[in-house]
Amino acid sequence: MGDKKSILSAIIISSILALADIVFLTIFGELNQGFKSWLTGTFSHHWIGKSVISVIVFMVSVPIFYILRLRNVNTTVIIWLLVAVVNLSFGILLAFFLFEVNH
Amino acid sequence: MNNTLIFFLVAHIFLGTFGIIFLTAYLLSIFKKENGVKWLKINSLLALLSFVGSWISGGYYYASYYGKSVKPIILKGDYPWVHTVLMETKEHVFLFLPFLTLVIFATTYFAHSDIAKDKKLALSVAGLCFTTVSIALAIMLSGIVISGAVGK
Repeated sequence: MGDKKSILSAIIISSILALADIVFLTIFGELNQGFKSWLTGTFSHHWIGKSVISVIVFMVSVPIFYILRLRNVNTTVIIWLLVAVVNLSFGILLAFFLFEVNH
Repeated sequence: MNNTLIFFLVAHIFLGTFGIIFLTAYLLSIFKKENGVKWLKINSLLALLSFVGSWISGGYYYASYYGKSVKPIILKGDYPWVHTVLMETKEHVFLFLPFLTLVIFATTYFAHSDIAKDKKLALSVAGLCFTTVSIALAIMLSGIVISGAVGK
């Protein structure tokens, strides 16, 4: 299970990073039109750009965290951490777009 | 809207709905003592494939049609916030779903024996599954409101 646990931990932590990356790219893109235009120009659409970058972040971070051999990381704890990050990310994006509408 | 776009839009809706159904089935079977692992693996894999398919099909429709033809109608209508709040949140939160279902699938695949023995781990996976289903349902409801706003 040791090796499998290292892969699993790497996947969970990389997913947390991918989610954080999506939130960052979304908010930064809305606040910086130059960056959003770069995403659109490079990937044909800003949403495709965010999708591709989040997948790249995930694909790059999985082997990095796997090499770090995170066997001692408690799987239950990082899954709950992912749940917290998901809910927080959802709340941040909803609050951001609500705020943007009113300003 | 041409037939290709209609196909991708319908595929996006159906695959997203299937993803919710498979994850709900997963959630209902995670604490079952008998014959659970096989169905947990099948449901988590089908949910992952459904959400990835919904991501690609919805992405094609959104990137090639929504922005040019649907968004301007909503923004000129009575409920522009449907795009500026609901659609903007929906299109970005949707990106979470493939990663979340991948974690559920990977945990089931790599740690199925631990899920059966360790109640705390099973509870955390159930919590993640419940959160994913809740977000997917919120996205689905937003989609219904967005579709409704186009005709107003």
